[in-house]
Amino acid sequence: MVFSSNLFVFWFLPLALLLYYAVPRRGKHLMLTVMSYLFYGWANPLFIFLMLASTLIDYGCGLVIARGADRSGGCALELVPRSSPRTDRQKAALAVSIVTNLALLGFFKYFNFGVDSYNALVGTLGLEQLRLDIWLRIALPMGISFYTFQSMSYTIDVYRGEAVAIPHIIDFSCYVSMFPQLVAGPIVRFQEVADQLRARTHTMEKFSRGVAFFCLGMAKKILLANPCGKVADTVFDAPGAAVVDAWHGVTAYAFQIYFDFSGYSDMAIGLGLMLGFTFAKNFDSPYLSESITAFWRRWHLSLSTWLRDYLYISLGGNRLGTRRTYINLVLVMVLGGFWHGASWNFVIWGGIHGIMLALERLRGRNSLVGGLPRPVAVGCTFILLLFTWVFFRAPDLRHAMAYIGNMLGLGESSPGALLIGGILRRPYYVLSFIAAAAVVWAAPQTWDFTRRMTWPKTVYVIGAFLLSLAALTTQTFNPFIYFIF
Amino acid sequence: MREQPIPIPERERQAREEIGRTDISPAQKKMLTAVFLLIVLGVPVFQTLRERGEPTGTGRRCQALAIVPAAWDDLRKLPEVGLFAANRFLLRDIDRYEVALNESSILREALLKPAQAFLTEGLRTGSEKVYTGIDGWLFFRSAVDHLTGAPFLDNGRMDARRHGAKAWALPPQPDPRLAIAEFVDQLSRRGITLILMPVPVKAAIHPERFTTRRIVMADGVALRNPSTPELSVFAAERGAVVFDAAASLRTVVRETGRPAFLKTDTHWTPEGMEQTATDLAALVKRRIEASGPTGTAPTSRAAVVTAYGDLVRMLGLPDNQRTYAPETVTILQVRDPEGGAWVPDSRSPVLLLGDSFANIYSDPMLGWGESAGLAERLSAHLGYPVDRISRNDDGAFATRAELAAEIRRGNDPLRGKRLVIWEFAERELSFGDWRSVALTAGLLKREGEDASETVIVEGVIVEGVIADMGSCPKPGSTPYRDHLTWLSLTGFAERAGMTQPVLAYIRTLEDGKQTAAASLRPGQKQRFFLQPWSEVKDRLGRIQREEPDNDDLLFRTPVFARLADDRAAGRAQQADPGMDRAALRVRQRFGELADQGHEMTVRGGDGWLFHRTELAQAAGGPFWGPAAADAGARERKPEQADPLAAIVAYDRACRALGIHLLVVPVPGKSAVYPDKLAEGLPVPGERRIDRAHAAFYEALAGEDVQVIDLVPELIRDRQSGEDPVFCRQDTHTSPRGIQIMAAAIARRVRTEGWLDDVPRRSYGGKKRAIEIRGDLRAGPDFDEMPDESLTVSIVIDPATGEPVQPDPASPVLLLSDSHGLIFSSGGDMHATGAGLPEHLAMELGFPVDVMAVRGSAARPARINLMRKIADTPGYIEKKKVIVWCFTVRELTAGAWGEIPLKR
Repeated sequence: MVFSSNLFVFWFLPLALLLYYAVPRRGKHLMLTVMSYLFYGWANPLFIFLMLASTLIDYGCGLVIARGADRSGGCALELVPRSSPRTDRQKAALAVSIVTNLALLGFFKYFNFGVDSYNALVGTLGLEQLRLDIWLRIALPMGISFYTFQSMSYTIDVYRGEAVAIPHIIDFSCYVSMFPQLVAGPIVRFQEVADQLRARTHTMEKFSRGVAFFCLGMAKKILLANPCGKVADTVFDAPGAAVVDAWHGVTAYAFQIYFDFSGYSDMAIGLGLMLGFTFAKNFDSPYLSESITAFWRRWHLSLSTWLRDYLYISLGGNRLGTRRTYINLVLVMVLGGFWHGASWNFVIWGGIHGIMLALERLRGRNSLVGGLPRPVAVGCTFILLLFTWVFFRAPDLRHAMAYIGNMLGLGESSPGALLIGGILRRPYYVLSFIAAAAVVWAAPQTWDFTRRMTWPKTVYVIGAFLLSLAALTTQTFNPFIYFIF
Repeated sequence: MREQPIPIPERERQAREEIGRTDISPAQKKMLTAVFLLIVLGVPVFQTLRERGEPTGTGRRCQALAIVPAAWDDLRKLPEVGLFAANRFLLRDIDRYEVALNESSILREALLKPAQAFLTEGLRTGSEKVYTGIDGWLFFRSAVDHLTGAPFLDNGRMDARRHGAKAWALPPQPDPRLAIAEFVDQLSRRGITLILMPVPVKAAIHPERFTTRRIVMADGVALRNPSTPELSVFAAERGAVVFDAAASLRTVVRETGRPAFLKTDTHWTPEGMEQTATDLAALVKRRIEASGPTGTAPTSRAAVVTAYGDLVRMLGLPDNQRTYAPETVTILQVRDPEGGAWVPDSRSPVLLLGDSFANIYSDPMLGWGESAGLAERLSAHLGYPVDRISRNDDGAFATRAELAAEIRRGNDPLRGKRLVIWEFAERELSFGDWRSVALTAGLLKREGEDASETVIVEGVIVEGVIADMGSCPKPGSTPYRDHLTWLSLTGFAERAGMTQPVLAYIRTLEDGKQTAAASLRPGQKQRFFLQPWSEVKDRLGRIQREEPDNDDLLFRTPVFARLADDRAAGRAQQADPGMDRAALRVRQRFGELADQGHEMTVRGGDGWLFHRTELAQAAGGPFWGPAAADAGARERKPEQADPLAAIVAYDRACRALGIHLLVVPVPGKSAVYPDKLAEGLPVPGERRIDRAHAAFYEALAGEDVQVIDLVPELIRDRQSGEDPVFCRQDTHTSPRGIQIMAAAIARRVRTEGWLDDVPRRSYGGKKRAIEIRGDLRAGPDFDEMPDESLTVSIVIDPATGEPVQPDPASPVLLLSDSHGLIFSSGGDMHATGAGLPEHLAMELGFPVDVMAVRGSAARPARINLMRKIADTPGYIEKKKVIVWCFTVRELTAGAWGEIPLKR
């Protein structure tokens, strides 16, 4: 189910809100869990069992870790002291949780990729007899990358002594499955919401700001991301696009992915606020970054902090020397890229970012263009990002290289591609592109915009929502990009 | 949980502080919250309230809850089909539910057209389906995408298409090479050559109308998808002949300066098609020149057609839009050498398989005229007939599947063929499903299968369960105004022998609007009116149709389905219970005889002649109510198709004036003398052959309309051994038949109470022998046939000694077609004073008034009466009974519709 759809906005959401506020406090998590499972099962009812299995395993592991050496099950759950050594049971429970989640993720997300890559390799080596003729194609369960990370963070936090385990399965299920951020984040670490699961407030202030977040997020998706996506799709699908079109296309994609994902995050944060939860900021005007290091402090913050806290630090972070730090940086970003999708393009995308982070760290966390005036540095960083987005968007490495060739004027032109100028220059797409650029570089991000609401802003928010609904009627199904990750 | 000092991450802490510092006034809070809730709650509330007004059983009530029974039904299948299959069903139903919910949204209804108008007229962008071009030109998006998109033979792209299929659907076969190679091999084994004819997309021929960017192409060269040349080389190497339609179309542009494509439509102009047909004919002649068939060449005549392009409709603009005007073109209609409408000929050595490019200017349902399509023009240039199988859309698969289905059913369209031309829109190469199709005969005749297939051979109403079904496109999502989808029907409770799934096609789009059938869902139990597909194939077979991807179902003998919630159709079923094999065989035979030849007359035995229209009607099923639109003459307007509604309305109008209407349909000759039509046809017994007509009269009676059903009496009289009740050579009843009709009508009139007040007299009679050349002896072919001898009985008024004359003041009016003139008005009506008016006067004892026309009593006669009433004050007030007499042929050929008695 997509937030920006008739079904969600006019049927699921009002029903969820009505039921949520109608049930007494002790039933709210159960109600939220039921609605979240309905929301999740809508994409594929079978995958409900997968999420349920992940939830049960992590819930059980959390209890085991929290109870430490006590096998009676009778003691109250407390914070596991950070300083005390962990028992074998606790270590085993953590291992079970991590292995299970990574196995789920690995199988469902990387099985096809593994088989295809293996077959490509043996084909290249001329060992066709070793090909795996597996008919099975694994369907990727929606949001598995998000909820496995989220669920894993629970057992890790409990193990590290940074969170208290949850005694009630419903509360834990509610945390894992919460529909606002279930399928495309933000990745809500357990620490972030542990106390909100115990107690949270429901105020009109929160609700109305949630409304503002939701409306602005929807406008980002419908009015900016989708038309920019049309431009990007057209150019990326066209072989031999002209230089100017190639740049236009990848810039449109940069806008699309930002507004698509940040729009989704805004809607998720808004929905969370309507339900009394406060989720952290996920985007902070990333294209205003002067360096790649700064970009990762502004882009998909829930992922970057997750990778930092659970992967980078676990690998030793910067505690094991300069060389190891650089290796860790590149490794974390490569794995982060691979987390996005089972494709070498994502590995390359992550690798480029990792190398850039390492290089900038080598320069004292300064951009390679750090000495230049800020607008120039921002521009150069954006151009660098555009090249990385090519790998993110192109279906495979061959297409990515061909596209970069087009951007550099090295591609072979195609007569059919000449027509795409007629598509890109249409006033609607031009206006959307200009509006997207204006919002990217000149408008405040949603948190800042909604911090102080005025009447004009209130009218603007409502107007944006109505305009989005009108535009929604003219658009076909447009799922969020991050649904496939 | 116990309170613990849990560290809150930095981002989370900032967020909480941030939210806690929101600066918003109470009024703004209320405003934002209230407006938001009003919108998200108000829309579903209004939607639900509005849907309460929808009729039950249409699937349009409480659509928000429609998923519940569908999901429950899917879950119940779980033990039978397994977890994964049940899940696929559920996914399919979820998808359909969401689409239906979206399409029925009141918000969409209110906002779509204005929003689309702004996008098109304000921002010159078009819609998700249509690009706007320069100077009012429109372009189909998927066609442009084919041109600008990735090479369709690119492995990565084809893999993406395979893996992009929905979970419940078979993945498409994206590689056209496999299908082309397979088809070439299949045809070459039978000595047939394949001509491959992809029709280029509009933007390829008219790029200058799409973009201002200068695109320089060599003369005669069109823009192409990068894979197109590779495919052409492949097809040629495999033995196909590739016809370059793009070269023909570019020739038109270059040499005439006129467009080869319609400005606002996906398809080519008549000029573009004409040049293509000319070049194609030249190619065909080169291939089969040596022994090409000879014959009289068809003739052509010009006609002007004005219509809106399909792309205008797909834009979804408000109905009163003025941005795009209709286009006018001149088409060249092809007539057969006898002047009749061109029809495909299965004996031709050339078979054209085509999509909507073959149907435009040919299929009137596309709105661009008829008899002037690609097959017709090709035939005109070749000078001999061409066979054709065509279907709008899905040129990659649909026509091959249709061909395969015909072969499996025992009809072999490839018999005698030397060339097959496979025409399809070039965009199919990027988006079509190039599934393998086996051209194997007789698969359905494998042991045990033939007997198990449920074959519907006549109209029947059954209640069945929709086991599965195809999708129902929304209006504007496809270039076509009409669409059929497939149903797999099972669970028939009412009919013995219907144990196997039935493949049914049902209309989901009709003239650009969704039908009630578009709301059907798998698992739903529904009453359907089913009739053999063959009965509607000529009319509906060429419109866009979704086929099942399951070959077992696809190659079953299909039926045409309609929702049978109509009262009249229900009565037809009540009047026609059970399947009478003998009657069905008769009807099938009628159909075969009606299909042989095109002239009006069908020769029977012993000098009996029959009207072809009558046989075609007798071969069909019900023709009223929901079946009316597809049962009759193609040129009839839909609102004038249903005789039931028109007759009932006329009856009510008569009653309002205190007049009693007696409806007297004159049966077809074949209903009384089927045995005279051909050997093997039975002499009518107790069970009548014209069961559809009987059901129709029942339906009229159910509406309290008085009908005189003449068939039983005519059959009885025939059995008595008297003179024939029909003329052998004429469409009309014989003098003997006239007397029976008059007696039957008079019996009914005599029950009227007012009759006692009418002075009566006795009339005399005078026999006279006549020789007639009946109206069925049309044309020189019948010159050798001797005239028919009849004896008429002239009704004489004793007061004058002359034949009795009509009386305008009579309380009885005979409103009639030529059945009121035959043997009455002289000349080509063969005699004077011996017709139905006279014999009615003799039976009643007073003269009747007559208003009879040589044409149709369905419409012109009623119009004449309306004018008479308007022009003659006091005229209608004198009438007590109107006897409305017309041939049953009018029931499917006439233009019905309501005509008032008084203007």
